[in-house]
Amino acid sequence: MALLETKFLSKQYGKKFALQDINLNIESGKIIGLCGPNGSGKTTLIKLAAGILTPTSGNLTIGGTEIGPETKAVVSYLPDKPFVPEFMKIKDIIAFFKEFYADFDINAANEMLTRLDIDGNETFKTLSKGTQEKAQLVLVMSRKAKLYLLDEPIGGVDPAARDYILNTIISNYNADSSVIISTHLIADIENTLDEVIFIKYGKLFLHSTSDDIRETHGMSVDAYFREVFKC
Amino acid sequence: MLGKVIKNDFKSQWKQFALLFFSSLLIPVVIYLSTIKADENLQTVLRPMSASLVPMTVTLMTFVWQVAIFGNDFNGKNAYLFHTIPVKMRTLIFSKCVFFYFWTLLSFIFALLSVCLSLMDFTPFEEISSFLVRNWNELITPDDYIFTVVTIIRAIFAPVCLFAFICAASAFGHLFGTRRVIGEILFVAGMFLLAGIYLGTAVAEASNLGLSGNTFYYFDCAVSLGVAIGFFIFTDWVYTKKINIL
Amino acid sequence: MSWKFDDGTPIYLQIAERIREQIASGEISPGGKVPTVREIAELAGVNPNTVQRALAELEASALVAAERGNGGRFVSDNPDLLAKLKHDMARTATGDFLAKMRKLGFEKAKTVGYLNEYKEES
Repeated sequence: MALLETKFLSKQYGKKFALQDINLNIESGKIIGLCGPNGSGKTTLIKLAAGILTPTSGNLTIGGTEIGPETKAVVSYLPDKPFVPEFMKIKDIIAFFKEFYADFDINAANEMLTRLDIDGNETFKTLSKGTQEKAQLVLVMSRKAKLYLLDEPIGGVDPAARDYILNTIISNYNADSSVIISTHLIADIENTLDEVIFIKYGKLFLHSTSDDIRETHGMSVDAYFREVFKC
Repeated sequence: MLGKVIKNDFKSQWKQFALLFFSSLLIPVVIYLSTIKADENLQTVLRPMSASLVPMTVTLMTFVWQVAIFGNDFNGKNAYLFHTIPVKMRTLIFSKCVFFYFWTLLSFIFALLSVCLSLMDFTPFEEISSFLVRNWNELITPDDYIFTVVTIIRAIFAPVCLFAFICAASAFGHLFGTRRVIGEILFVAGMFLLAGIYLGTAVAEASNLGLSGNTFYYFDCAVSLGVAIGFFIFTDWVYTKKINIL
Repeated sequence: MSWKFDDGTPIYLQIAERIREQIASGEISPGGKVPTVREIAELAGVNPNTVQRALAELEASALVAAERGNGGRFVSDNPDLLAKLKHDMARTATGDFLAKMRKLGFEKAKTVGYLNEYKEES
């Protein structure tokens, strides 16, 4: 059974289509890049899978189940903006995750926080932007989820942190889960991707393996992306 | 899951209400004590002022904060967190309802206490207890059991109906996307209008049909209950099937 | 942090090549243990599935084999196979070098002259 499956998935805002007739089939054990320019619909697709948006038409299932509490229990979502309540302490949000997510590995989380020099007693609001992003990543990656949805995880982060994030994703890899990374910084993560999905103006442009793109077009995925989305 | 949600809601809410309720006791006492030595005029102005402003503030603030907390969790800053935990919407709504009831009840108790403390006059409590003692027999063996029972039930459910209204307004507003506040205002205005129409026509019809006061009263209770249930179903539906966190 | 790769060629082939180089140079000794998929993936900054494919390539040529009950992969200790590997890599390197020299206008004879004259710095 496909881990994530969409059939003619569409999301409209008024007359505008954020996503139109998306047909996707994503298996377990893959690291997948969701690529497209800003406003192409990447975040919309991720939010639909996370369950904070509902489709206008078509459907989306995770592990064969409709989006709901059962899918939320196995989906770990990292939004592209802060989601931890401002005045919560780090140790409190850790406790929150442990409380509500059965698959949360609190030891792994605390270990990562120590390694990143993040103090559990700090209030989330007082952390720098980069540290906030790392803390949120720790929360999301400490879950043993089936589907990880990372929305622009490396966008506003320094190169060293970027390496750390990609390393965390690789070392977390297992055959029972998949990671979908939405980004437009393809060059940095290309080597970690099994498959790539290109979204252009809300429509599915391609879904292929990165090896196929290299073999068929004789160029890197990043180069091919630039060609496809040339202004 | 409900236990977890309730525990978490309590953890994040209790401090602000504890502070509010504590202040509602502290301020009247402070005003009373600081006006002991003061002249008559100051006493007759400040103490009654405390006796009216403090209870008003406590009850109003409790209500406003509840609405704000609900809004923040379902629509605002905490929406991402709230809508991605593997909990059914109805569980989250139920927990909010429990706390709405709890804090509202407490706010009335503290409001009454603050009045008494402002004037150092605890007769309201004495009056309530003597009223109950005097009328207990009449209350528990009335001629009309049903009427008493229905009234008690209605009183108990009144905060729940108010909460249902808040939920539905929030849900209706949610359907308007970024123009959420317009939706909420439309809902409230619309409901007041409908309530007015209902009362006007229903009462007229009832008298036309020659229904007794009690029958109309029971009918009205049923309508209130039905509307509240409808509001909850609507809220659950919007936040489950039509959710749009932007 | 991560290895550098060429565009245009599948990454798994490039990883396979790099491991072949490590075997040929003795960096991984004959019969020695090959790092795990996870280790290589983290070192190279590459998807574990890609590493898996690379190792599958090497297994297909019998250069590397998974040992039953031992977990992990080991380099072949077949001396003929290893000799052939070195031989093949040497041929390729030679061919590449000759092609480069030809581009500069030097045929094989001239190239051999260069080789004989070349004094390596100590």
